[in-house]
Amino acid sequence: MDPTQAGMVAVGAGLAVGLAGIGAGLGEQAIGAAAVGAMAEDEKFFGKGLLMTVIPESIVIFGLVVALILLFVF
Amino acid sequence: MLKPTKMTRVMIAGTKDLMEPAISTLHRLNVLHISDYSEENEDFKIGRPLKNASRLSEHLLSLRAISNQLGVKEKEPALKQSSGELPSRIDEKISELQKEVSSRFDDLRSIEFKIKEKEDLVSSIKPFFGLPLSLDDYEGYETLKVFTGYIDADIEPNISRITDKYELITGEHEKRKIFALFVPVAFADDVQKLLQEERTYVEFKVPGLKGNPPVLLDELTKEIAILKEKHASIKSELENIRKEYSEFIMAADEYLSVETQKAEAPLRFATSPNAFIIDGWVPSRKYDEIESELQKSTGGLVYLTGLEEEAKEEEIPIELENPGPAKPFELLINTFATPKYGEIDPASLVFITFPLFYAIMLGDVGYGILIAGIAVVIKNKFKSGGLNALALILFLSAVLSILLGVIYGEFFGFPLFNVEVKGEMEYGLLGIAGPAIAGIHIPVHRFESVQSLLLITLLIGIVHIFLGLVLGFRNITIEHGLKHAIYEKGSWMMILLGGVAAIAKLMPALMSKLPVQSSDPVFVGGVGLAVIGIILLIKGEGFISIMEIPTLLSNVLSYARILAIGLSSAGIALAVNTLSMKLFIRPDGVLLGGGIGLALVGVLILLIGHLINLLLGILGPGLHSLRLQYVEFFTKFYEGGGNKYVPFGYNRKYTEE
Amino acid sequence: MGASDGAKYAYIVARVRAMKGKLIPRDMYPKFLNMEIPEITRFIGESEYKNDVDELGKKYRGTDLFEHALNQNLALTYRKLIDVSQNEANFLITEYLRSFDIWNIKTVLRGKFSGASEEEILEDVISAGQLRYRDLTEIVKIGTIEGVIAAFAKTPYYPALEGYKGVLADVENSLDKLYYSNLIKAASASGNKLFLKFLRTEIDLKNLKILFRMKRAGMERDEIIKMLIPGGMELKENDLGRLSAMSFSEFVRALEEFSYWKAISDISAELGSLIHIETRLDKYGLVYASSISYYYPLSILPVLDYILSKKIEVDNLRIIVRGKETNLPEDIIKAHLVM
Repeated sequence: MDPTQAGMVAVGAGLAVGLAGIGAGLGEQAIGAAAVGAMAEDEKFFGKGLLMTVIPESIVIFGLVVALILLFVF
Repeated sequence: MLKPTKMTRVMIAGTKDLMEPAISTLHRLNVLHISDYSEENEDFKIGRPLKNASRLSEHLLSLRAISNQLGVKEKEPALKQSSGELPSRIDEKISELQKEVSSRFDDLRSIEFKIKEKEDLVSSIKPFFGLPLSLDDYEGYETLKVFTGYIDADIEPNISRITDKYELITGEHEKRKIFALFVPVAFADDVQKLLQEERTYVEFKVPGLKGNPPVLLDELTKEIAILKEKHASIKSELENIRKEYSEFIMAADEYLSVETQKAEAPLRFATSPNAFIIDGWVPSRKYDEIESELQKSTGGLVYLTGLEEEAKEEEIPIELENPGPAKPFELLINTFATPKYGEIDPASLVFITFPLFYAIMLGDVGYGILIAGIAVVIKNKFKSGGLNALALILFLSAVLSILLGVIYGEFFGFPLFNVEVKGEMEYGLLGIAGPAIAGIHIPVHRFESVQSLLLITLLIGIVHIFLGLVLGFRNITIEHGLKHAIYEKGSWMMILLGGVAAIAKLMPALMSKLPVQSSDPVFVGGVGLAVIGIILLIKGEGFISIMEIPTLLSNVLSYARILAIGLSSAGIALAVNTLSMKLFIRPDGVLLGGGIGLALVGVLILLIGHLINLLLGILGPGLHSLRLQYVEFFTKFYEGGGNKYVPFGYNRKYTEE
Repeated sequence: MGASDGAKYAYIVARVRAMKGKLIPRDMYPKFLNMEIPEITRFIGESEYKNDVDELGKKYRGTDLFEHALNQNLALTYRKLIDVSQNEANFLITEYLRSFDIWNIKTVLRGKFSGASEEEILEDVISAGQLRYRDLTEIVKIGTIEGVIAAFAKTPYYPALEGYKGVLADVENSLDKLYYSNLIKAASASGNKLFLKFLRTEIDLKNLKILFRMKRAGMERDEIIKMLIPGGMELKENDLGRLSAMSFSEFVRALEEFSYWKAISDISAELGSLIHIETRLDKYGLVYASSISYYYPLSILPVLDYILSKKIEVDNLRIIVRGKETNLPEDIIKAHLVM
């Protein structure tokens, strides 16, 4: 791989994680707000709330996997 | 294991005079889950509480009001009180306490009121310091009207326009001008109007006291000090009462609560004018015990029967039953949902998979040891309840993480063994090369083997999801029969297996840009199996269910997080280490090459970085491992919605029977 | 940052849903009927009312304790909703809860009119609106109705009060009308259609109750029309006029064309009994609020649903305890409960 190509791969990997992160963040804002609201009333919701909040994080994981494949597999 | 405790439905019937002994026996045994009676009809009504219920509640109300006033807090009792002698003194002790406490609080309130009064006087006297008059001089005139207040403007010219019979005294208080003005009553209204037009005028009232302001102030301050002293002494008396009676209050509260619970038990029974019926559930192994104890306490006069008839599944209370080490994992099950009676209780499966996923993600000897330590501390602090269970789960996961850490060869991100990375030798902390166990060369460097680790995690996912589908198949077979199970779960198993086989052949071909070998039996078989699965699925669940198929793919891909979270955790550790070592502690490969100061900064970076990563290392792997259980695994078979088993009884803390 | 519409309500909705989950379950009410007042007080003192019961327990006993605990809890709960909500939700909740200002003004006026003591009046005050309890305790000390009205001069409710000419019912009616017209104005200004829909249905139910009451009392058309509140959802102004002019039996038959009929149709034989009608209409409102709040889960509706459910819980508890205090038979108490 010439340096330009390697650089482009790195940029691509960065975009994959970064954009996925923005997406997950947008998804999480409402869930996070709701989780905090429920928890404020009833501490029993702590576990469920935390769990619900990480659900959209799947997207970042997918982004991260794509980035890893770009960096390590290709 | 895998199944909730077997329950037997019990009906207890008897005449009303046996109700009280029956209640206290059942309460003592603490095993019967009572089904509340709610469908009232002509013959049977919801029962009425025992006679003493109302009095007990009154006692509890007074006791709690006192406890609230005193600020009694729950704490571990020094010794348990016998409930045999409590009742004899509870009445008089509560009324005695009430008298002591309420009279003191009344005193406190009246003292506070007096202090407030005096303080108001003090602040109203202060302005008069600026005027050279005694307080008597402002009052008691029949023909004179006195105005006092703050004012900035010079009002004298205006007043002299109204009348020349006036006396104006001015002074200063806290840098504001103050005045006292004496005018004949006849001109009072005019002067009043004049003053009100002046923007800076603020009136202050003359306090109804006699004497010199400084002398008065002195007296008042002394009085306030005395009052405050008295206030403090009553407070400390109350504090003593609190200390003295705390244990009694907690014990009495518990005793009364227990008695109230017994006295109100009939609210859950069906009663006719002469008889009562209790409907409930006991764990089957406890049935004999409940029967013999009940007969003993009622002279064999109550009628008790264990019903074999089928009840609605949702009505049967659920007590999870798992061997000791898997017990804490019931917390994770209950957080999601209590299983139904016929369902598989997955606690013992989660007992294996949760720590495993956690460990594969964290996989670091250093972090593992620290987290295990934290878990032990929490476990010793909280002997029971949710936090205790959580600590046990964490401990197990951390121990497994240490093991995986050895395999990965990581200690706080530093290599444990000598290892070759990208053709360069990295020297590990142990200074030796890793051993080879069962043909695998340790360490398996995570950044070097991303590709194979990714495959392994996806394989774990496929196995895990398949296991979920198998359990789902079993649940549905039991609930709705084999046909439904094949449509609902069998179809998915075929799609999963077939799809995996097909993709396994397809991917390498695509990567190497060779044509797919369409005659390969594995590929053909896989596609065929998947197609049959899809047909079954459409037949069972309708055409719309095709939309669900991509979900299966994302479910499998989701397991890639096991690798991803692990890499990000290891990555952060690596970054922290590289930063502090290469730039601060060993610049240019020389230890302390940048001086001791720079090295200390490096140590600080190391500490903070690893602390943050440690917290992330508890949260991230924990939540994501749990998520894989809940979202990817449970959705394949678990419905939940069962009713938790809550036996009629009380776990005493402050009293004993 | 521009949060989406859903995210804006996520916090408050999750919170009120959790609060709704902690309301007293319905199957407790038949049990309450079998319990004595101290037992019921103790029971609620072990639930969400704990702080109120424990704290007021030093000052009051028996039913006084119970009533004050209910009022204080209701007021604090609603005040909390105002405190924890933001932006549009906060604005709408604040405006909606002004109904308690109306209630308190009416309570004080009625109390003064009937010569009740300060303590008696304060027992019914629920300071969940914008008028503070401390101010109200001062106003209650004023001797005359005119004085009380003057004390409200700086509040937005004064326009409805200043026309007082010795007939309390007139002032009360114009207070209601003022409240609803302001609320509709506020809702329209915010552009929240769901809130408006909820509100208009509430107005319909209120008008129906007034109609039943007036018809039963044999009032004339003009008098009835004067009482009715404009702005309803189904019962438009011409409907109201038409219904007011009818005889009682014609009126009942005419109701069949409205969707509210299904709330009362099965008791059409005993429509003469106001208790049944009013509890049915309340129940309809409750079910309506809860069902539309599920259609629009991220909106103001779940909050309104909670406000209503909480109010009805407190009303039910009060009915039970007052019924018990006056030794009413259980089935009569039961008939008054909205369940």
